Parts: sequence; structure tokens; C-alpha cells
Amino acid sequence: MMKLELGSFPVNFVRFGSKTQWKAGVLEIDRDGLIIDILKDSRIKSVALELASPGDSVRITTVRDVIEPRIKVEGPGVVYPGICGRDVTTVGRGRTHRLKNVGVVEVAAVPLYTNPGMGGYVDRTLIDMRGNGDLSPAFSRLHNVCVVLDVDETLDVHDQNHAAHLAALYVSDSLGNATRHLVPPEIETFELGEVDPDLPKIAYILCQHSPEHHAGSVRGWGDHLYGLTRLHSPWVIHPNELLDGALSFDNSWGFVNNPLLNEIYFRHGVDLNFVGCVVIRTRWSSQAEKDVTSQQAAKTARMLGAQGTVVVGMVGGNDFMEAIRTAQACELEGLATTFVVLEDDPNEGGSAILEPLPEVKSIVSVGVGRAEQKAAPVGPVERVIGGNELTLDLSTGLGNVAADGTLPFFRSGLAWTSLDSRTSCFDY
Amino acid sequence: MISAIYSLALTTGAPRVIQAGRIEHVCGDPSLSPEQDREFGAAIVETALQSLTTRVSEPTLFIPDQDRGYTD
Repeated sequence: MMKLELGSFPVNFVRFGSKTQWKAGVLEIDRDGLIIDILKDSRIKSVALELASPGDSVRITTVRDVIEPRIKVEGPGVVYPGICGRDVTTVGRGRTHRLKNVGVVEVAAVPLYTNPGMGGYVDRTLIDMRGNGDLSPAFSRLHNVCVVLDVDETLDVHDQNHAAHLAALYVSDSLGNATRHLVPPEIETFELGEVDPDLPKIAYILCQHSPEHHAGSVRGWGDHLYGLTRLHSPWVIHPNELLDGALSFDNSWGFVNNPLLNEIYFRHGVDLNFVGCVVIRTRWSSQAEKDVTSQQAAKTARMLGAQGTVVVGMVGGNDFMEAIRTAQACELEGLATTFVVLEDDPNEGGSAILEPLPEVKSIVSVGVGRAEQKAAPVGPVERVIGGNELTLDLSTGLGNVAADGTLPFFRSGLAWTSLDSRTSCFDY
Repeated sequence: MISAIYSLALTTGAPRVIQAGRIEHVCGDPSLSPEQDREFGAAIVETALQSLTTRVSEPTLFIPDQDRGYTD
């Protein structure tokens, strides 16, 4: 049903020039042209494009998203479908081109929503480009093209989000488009073909936080699946749709460069049969709704033919309940399940995971994040892209430090689904 | 403990857990009329008070005596 070719154009050097083009690993960007186009949106007061390459003494603050420039050159739909009003046609077929090793970084002090309880965080993600991935394992290894935006703050918050992300997508599309008529140096084919029927059938279940309750709106900004962020029932997704960016925002780059998804895919036909993905939403507000979600997710996996599942939930607290209950429901349906999750801070006196359930016996931890990040101070940098101050305690909003100075600890940020943690066990 | 996500409350070891509404309105239900909303909340609180005089040997769930289908 779905066959996708991914053509990769590796980049090892980025510079500004008179024309946006890719040639032999060098990406040249027409900065002035892009700026003129972005400023046609009157909601953007000003914009700058800045470059940050691996190893640079640079921190990037108020990061809202990192996007891999991709473009569909054959087949229906557009990459990153649905978000910001983009075409919602089902993706995952044909051919997509991408610039490898590049991130378009959306930099803007725009909160996701203005609910008093959430404090209007703008310090969402912080990238430190030094140390070959010591601090920001995934993003510091990319050539980052930062779209630094000043959005009209008198607008409705949803409008501000829309304007900021639209500008970042415009840069991403423009860079990707430079490869449209070129022959990719690397091509991979993604197809779930027929395989030996004796291979164990595996489903991959993703647990994504919905901002619906935090935002008080079904249109709250957060992880978008075909442009929807609201709570929804378990949704069957082909992995090719994820590769074309059906799930986007907050960590658009990470969602299309998911090492776990890629590994399962590559092993299709080798030692497993990948039957598909299911996306569930977390943060339903009643026990019954959480139980419906997790039980229906397990049922869905079984109807796909799964004999085993990998349930991934980079979530904690309230959201954690749907994730672990999905793993539990899968086990109770007879599906051998591995639960991949982050741990809570052991220094806060609780257990490593919020609600251990006896049926969930196989757990992979991606690390503690915050506690490790308290460990050591981080020295100053020469340059900052984005806001000049960082907030140390996101829950109280207290403790401002200069963004270019010494930090008492390093924390990559509060990104609900960020795969970028300095204690992650995934080797980027 | 009065909790909307009572299964979690039970695992924390709280001896008496009272099943309640939703996370954002634990002892009320804004979809009901003001009178019904008050009855809804009163039933939960009364159940909580009664549970305090009930002997328990392990974490126990108390379900308020009403049938409103409030989890819709």
C-alpha cells in the first residue's frame, strides 16, 4: 500500500549566498530573499536568520521546534501535513527529498497557550552547540539555520503560534526545495512488504501528549498529527506517514529521525514483521477515558495482528497513566510488550516511575534527565541566538540567568516529547 | 483522598480513596445544573466523611452513592 523513497542530500557546510542551492554537501542560503518573503506576513515584526554549526560556542534559546528540511517530489501530499493549514492528504508514498544534518530552528518567545497554570513558558528547549553532543546530543550535531522571530504579541496566542511556525516551515520548505530537481546521493526505500509468516509481528505504539486541557481549547498548540492536537482515540498510522512528518511540532526533526522506529523498520523481514503504528493521546482528564484509550490501543494492536508491542511514552505525571496502562492492557491482551519511558527525578523521594503496574515487566528507561542535568555547571558561550535570559525553575518562573553565562546546570528544556536528553540511551 | 484518577491514588497507599469527577473539576460537574452539581459534590464529600469512620485494612476505593454517568 505504501512505498516511500527517501532521497538524502548530506550537508557538511552552510553559508549565506545570493541563491538557495545545494551542491556537493554545501548548502547556500539566500538570506535576504527569505527575509523579504517572511515579512510579507504582517504578524511578524522582524526576523533574522542565523547559523550555528556543530562545535560553535553558541547557545540557542527560546527554541520552539527543530525541523528537518524535507520536500515531497513525487506522490500525494506535502511533508508535515495539516499543521498551519497545510494539505491534509495522507502522506507516506512516492518520493521525499531531505537535507541531511540540517535543522531549521524556530526561535521565538511565544508561549504555546496562555493558561495561568502553565505560566506561559517560552524557555521550551535550549541547544548548546559545543562538545560534540555532550549537552544537546541530537541538535548540536546539526547545521542549524535559526529563524529568529519577533511576533506581534498583541495577537491571539494561537495566531502568534501559527505565524511563528509558518515562517519556520517556509524556510524549511525553501531549503528542501533546492533539492527538488537534483539526483540524491543516497536513496532508501521504505516499504512493509510480505515477509516470512513465522516472524513475530510487532506494533509500535506512540503515546503523545495532547495540550487540550492545558490550553483549554481543542486547538491548543502542541504535537500535531495531521494538524490535530486535540485528544483523539487510538489512531492507526503507517510508519511511512511518520517519516513524512505526519507527527510534527516541538521535535519535528526527532519525529522523522526516530532511531527506534528506523531500527524496527530495518528489521522488518529480518527477524520481525512490523505490522504498523498506533498513536494514542495522553492527558485525558478522567480515569474512565484513560482506561478506554489504553484498552482500545491494545485492541487495535491486536487487530493489526501484533503479537508483541513496543510502547513509547516520553511522558510523566498525569500523562504517564495512559502510557503505562497501554503497556499493561497489551500484556493483558497477550501481547509481549516493552515499555520505553523516562524516569522521574529520584532526588524527589518518589519511585522511578509514577505508577508501577505488575503486568509491565519489560521497561527500558531513557534516563532521568533533570537529576543528571543538575550535576555540573556549564561554562559561558560567546554567542546567544534567541532570548538573552534563561529561567532556572520553570515551575515557579524564578531564577533568571544570562543565557551566555555560566549555567549552574544544563537542562535541555521542557519539551513534552523531546528525544534530546543528555542522558538518553539512544546514540545520536 | 478524593481523586479523579483513583487508580493512581490507590497505588500511593492512601487507605481511603473516594472516586470523584474529573481532574479539572474533582468535586463538581459544570455540565450539570447548579442544583445537580451541588448534589454531585455533596455526595462525594459525604462519602469521604463516611469513609473516615469505616475500618479498612488496605487501600480501599469508595464510590459515591449516585448514578449520573459523570464520566461521559
